Amino acid sequence: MKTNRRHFLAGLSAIAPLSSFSLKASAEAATLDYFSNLGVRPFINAIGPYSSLGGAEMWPEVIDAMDYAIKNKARMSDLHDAVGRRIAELTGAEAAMVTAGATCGIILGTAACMTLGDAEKMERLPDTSGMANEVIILKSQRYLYDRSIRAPGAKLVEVASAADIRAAINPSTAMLFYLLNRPDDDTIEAPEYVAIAKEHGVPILCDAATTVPPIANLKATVAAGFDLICYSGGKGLRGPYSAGLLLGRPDLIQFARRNGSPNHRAYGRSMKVAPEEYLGMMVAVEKSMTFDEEAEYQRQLEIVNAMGSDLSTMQGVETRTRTPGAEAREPYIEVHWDTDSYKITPATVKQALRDGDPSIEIRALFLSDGQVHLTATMLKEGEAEIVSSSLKEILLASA
Amino acid sequence: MAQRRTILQILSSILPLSLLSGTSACAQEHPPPAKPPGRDYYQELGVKPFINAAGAYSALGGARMRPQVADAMRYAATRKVKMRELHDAVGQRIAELVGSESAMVTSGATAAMVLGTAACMTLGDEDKMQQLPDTTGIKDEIIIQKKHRYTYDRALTVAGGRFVEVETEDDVRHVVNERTAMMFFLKPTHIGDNIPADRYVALAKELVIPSFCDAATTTPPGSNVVAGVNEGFDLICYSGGKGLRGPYSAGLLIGRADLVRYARQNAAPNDVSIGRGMKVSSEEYLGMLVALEASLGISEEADFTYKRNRFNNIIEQVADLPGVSTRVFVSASETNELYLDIDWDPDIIRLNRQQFIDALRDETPAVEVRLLLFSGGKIHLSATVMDDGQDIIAGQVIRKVMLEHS
Repeated sequence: MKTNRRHFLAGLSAIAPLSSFSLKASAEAATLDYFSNLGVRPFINAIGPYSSLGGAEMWPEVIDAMDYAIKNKARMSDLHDAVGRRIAELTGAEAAMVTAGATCGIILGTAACMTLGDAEKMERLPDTSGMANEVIILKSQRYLYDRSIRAPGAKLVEVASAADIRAAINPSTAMLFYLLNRPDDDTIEAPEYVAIAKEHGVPILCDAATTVPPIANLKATVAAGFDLICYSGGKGLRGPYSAGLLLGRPDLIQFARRNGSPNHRAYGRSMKVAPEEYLGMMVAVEKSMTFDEEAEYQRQLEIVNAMGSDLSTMQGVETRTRTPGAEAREPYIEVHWDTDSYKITPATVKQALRDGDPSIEIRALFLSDGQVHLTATMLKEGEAEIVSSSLKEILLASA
Repeated sequence: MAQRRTILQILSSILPLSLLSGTSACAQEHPPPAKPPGRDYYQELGVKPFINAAGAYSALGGARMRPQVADAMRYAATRKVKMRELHDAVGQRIAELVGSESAMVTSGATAAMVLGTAACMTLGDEDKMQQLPDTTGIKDEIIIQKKHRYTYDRALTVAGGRFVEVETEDDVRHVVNERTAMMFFLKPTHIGDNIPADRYVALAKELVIPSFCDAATTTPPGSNVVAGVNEGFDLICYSGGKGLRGPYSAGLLIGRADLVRYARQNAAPNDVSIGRGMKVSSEEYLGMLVALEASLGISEEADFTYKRNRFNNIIEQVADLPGVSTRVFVSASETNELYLDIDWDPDIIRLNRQQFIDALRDETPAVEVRLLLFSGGKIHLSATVMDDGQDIIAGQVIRKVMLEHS
């Protein structure tokens, strides 16, 4: 599970051009310094837009749209219809809805496939006795978040091959699950998986949560024929933190909506999505569609390279710039050190940076000797220098 | 009235005087409807604007956030902090404000019910948390009074809970067993119950079963949160985006430190929790705190004056119409909400209540009003979500509809 997680996070990708980030918004609101009053410390994020660290920086346009929705009320069903239509147009999907995050997308999608609009079944979840409740998943694609498939009461059925899938499909099969962005260990490629699903008339849900940017991935995945696809909103798309997208077949999206908020007795009533999140998510998709990704990628590359040059001036320290291909658009550097010269583990380095002032978060690979990763996605102006000099100090102190 | 004074006394012992003075400028601000700064998104989308004279319903977008709540959300949106640190600090501050051991912000009252149930069922056991909603070998029985069965009790089954209905104290003693996870109680009290809150709490303590109270809709006034906490339930939940005028998809879960900690373990951002889908953003976390502070600080008198002024402007538009009667009143429950009751002689204005509602909905701008069941299906208007200026327009629309059917 640990290895999977690491792999999965390595695929996390997002871009945040702080240079283009308008400071106007924050200046306007800076009447009270809430976080400082609460004793909540700021920190430097050299690890990436993780949920536990507050996700990605939202586009300024998203924040403006959220403010608009906070101050102007609309009927939720009108808003859901209109924003859903607009996101479908933008992405090329048949239908779309905004969810309370990618996990919520998986939960509502699974609930939709199990209940197919049957009111009595919806009312009964997570008790799934007597309904199609099996979800087929590749053994190689078991991961942290498959937990959410079980939340509404589904049972996971593991398979390893195309033949397995065909043998496993039976009247209790509710859905086929596919995790995108795991190219190394996929025993079955997406097109074949989709084809099997179609051949048997079983809906297929794809978790593509962390596969953007590049935004081209989104359109390609929509075109790949999955019945449902979910995305995280607060990471690569730089939308609201607790928002996500569920795209797909109109009937299934309709069923998913019925299992969601604000329907009073829905299984998913608790996963509320605010009007500001609905609208903010739409603007985030719009913005992501027109953003110059290449320029942002180059900007990040320059920053990580600069950190790399600075660090490799030290004796016994080596850095390597990693520029993953189209699947993950987040350049990063690996920092290696000679463990005879610097007697410190990656875990200790991570902790020392976290405990420092300012506090810095980095990715440490616990299983490999002397290696940490630095990313530039979330770094603000001037922070890269602080990260590399702090890391140098800690390494020197251990020598 | 005596009860209200007690609540204020309790408040004054907890809150700084500056918060209690109530007439602070921010609490009184009721800005005119916001002019879209740039894009008019709703117009682009063809979403029809409406005047909400119905109240802070989820389906209508919830309450009007106070300006300082919107500011706090903008603040948090542009500054990243570690979620755990934020959760700790805000939880601690909310607990201090309301006089409880512990508190957390949830993605709404329903989420608080799901997480509270999950907490009482799993009590911090990792395997059990991982296993939900499969409750094999897990305490999953939830005791509930028959009269407390309602729409939102659905939330108690989301994590795998099962209902055991009771009517009397004897029933409770009889059904308690090693599978009992929680005793559930529903407020407000006008809903009716066989076992009143104080007895229910005492019974739960005696039987050592965690008690949970859904008090989602018992605000305003904000002081009811403090009063509710003082009743001694192990957990109590409130809606954030309604009476407290906080973020739409936010709520409060307040209570015993151990149980709130277990609830947090079952929630986002923990990756393998059953509640991972119920994400709460940092802007919602902070906005909820600021909303609660404001609600505790506001003077009810000022709030009522604001609402009364809105109603007077509506009444002015229709008072001269033959057969129309109006009445402003405070609901007879612990939720101190001011309503405007509009009635008419159906022989003069030929509309039944549903036709009236539909006709208002078809106007531009639409005016949303509701039939309230608790008052026998009368038309009651609420000014909770009404901006200054919308009142006159709403009154004009109502007048137009009435005249057209006279």
